[in-house]
Amino acid sequence: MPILLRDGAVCVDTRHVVGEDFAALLAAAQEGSEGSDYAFSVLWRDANPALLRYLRVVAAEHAEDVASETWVQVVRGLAKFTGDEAAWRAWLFTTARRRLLDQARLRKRHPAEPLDGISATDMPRTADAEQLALDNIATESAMALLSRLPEQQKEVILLRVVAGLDTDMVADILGTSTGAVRVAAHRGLKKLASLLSGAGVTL
Amino acid sequence: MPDNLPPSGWGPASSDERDLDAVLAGQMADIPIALRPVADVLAALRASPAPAELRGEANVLAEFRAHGPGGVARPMGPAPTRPLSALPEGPSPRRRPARRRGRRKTARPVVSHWAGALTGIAAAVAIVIVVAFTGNLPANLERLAHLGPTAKPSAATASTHPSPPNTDTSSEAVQPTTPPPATQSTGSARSEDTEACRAYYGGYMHPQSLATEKSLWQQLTTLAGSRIPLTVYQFCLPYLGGMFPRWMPEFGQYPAAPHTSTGSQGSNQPASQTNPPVENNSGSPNSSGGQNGQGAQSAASPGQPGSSATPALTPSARR
Repeated sequence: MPILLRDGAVCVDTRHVVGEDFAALLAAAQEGSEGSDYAFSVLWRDANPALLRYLRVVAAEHAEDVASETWVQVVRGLAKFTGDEAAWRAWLFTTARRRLLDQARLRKRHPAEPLDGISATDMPRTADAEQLALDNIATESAMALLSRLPEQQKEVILLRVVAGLDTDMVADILGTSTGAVRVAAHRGLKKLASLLSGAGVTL
Repeated sequence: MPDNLPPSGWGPASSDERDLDAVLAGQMADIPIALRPVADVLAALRASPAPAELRGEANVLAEFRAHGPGGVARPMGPAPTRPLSALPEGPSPRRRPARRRGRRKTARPVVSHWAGALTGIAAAVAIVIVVAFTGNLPANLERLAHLGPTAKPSAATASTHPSPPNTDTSSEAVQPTTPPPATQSTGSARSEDTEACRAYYGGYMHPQSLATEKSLWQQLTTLAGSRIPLTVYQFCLPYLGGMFPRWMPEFGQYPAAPHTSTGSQGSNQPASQTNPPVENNSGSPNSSGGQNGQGAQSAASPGQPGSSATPALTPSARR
């Protein structure tokens, strides 16, 4: 039974998910001792959903592959990482973007069949299944809506909201200025509002 | 050109950047109502992880165990599900040094190096002593190790100019069983040298008592003027002609006996095997003649017709 770090679909600040325990968890994961598996597992459970959501918006058909490759690279470089949780997430999503670009180049040379998406039948049949299904539907709908935005806008919003990175970090990842990141984010939100109002969608 | 929001009852009339920042930050309380739907979308993006988003944990842990900071593949098992509360509260726990980084203090065997060196030196000294007493040192090394009085020049020079023994058809060839009779040279000293040398070194072919050997050795050291075995042997070498078979390399070629005259040399004898050019000062070993020299030369030269150049073990070769 996986551990849910957050309850419900409330608006939670994703910037400090692990919180004060991040330093301890990171140190334990880097030690390579008996408790490192657990520490890394916590870090993975905290970051992987956000990573998957980001990848499923920017690269819907190859999100799983890119996520796997990202974690492989992260695992191998984990011993050398130093920083707080924000830097950890920035490193994770930077690695994911680089893997995404590599995948894009590879697909140009060797086109492959797209992978199947997440099926609703895979959801657990528990007491919280309905809520989870609703949450999942809401998340899926949100991701579907976000995917309609221009490339840079949706990426900025994802990194700001899902990854929990600040404007400066997003600018570093995208290789642009802080002002451009803010403008892109605002335009994206306005676009979302437009899409929502135009479609008459209510969440 | 900025995006224009369509006029609607609930849509925002104007978008303040601060409101947008608030939406991005998830601060629901301060955003306009018009932006609430957008905030809800963003909230859905931040929702709790779905079970499907946690399915690849086993694979990632396998990768972590194989290539993570531990670096050693550990047996795979279910991921632990301890709550975060299990972690110690308060300040972060002090980081323990990894086992693999610990230094292993191993005492280096310094003593064994010295012991080995001393053992090697002692062994080398023992070998030198043994070799010196057994007479197997090279001539040059023997001279350097010479401690006693200088050997007679005749003996010393005899070793540097080993001459092939004079051959003779004498029947007194090398006999493995009985030593050839020690013939008396014209000089009493020469006969004494001959007798002593042949008596002592005859023990190589037929062992004698220890007392006899010691007595003969004492006599030889007095005659040779040295206690060094090789020096004594060099002294006796002219008197040992014909005693030993040719197949004994250390006694293969030796000069003619000091009492052997030039007449004892057979015509069949090659030029190289005439009176050996043994340099001597106190009575040339070649000056002696007689039967002894003949006998001494009888088994010297190989291929000599009528000579007993063949090893003494083949008496048939003697003539």
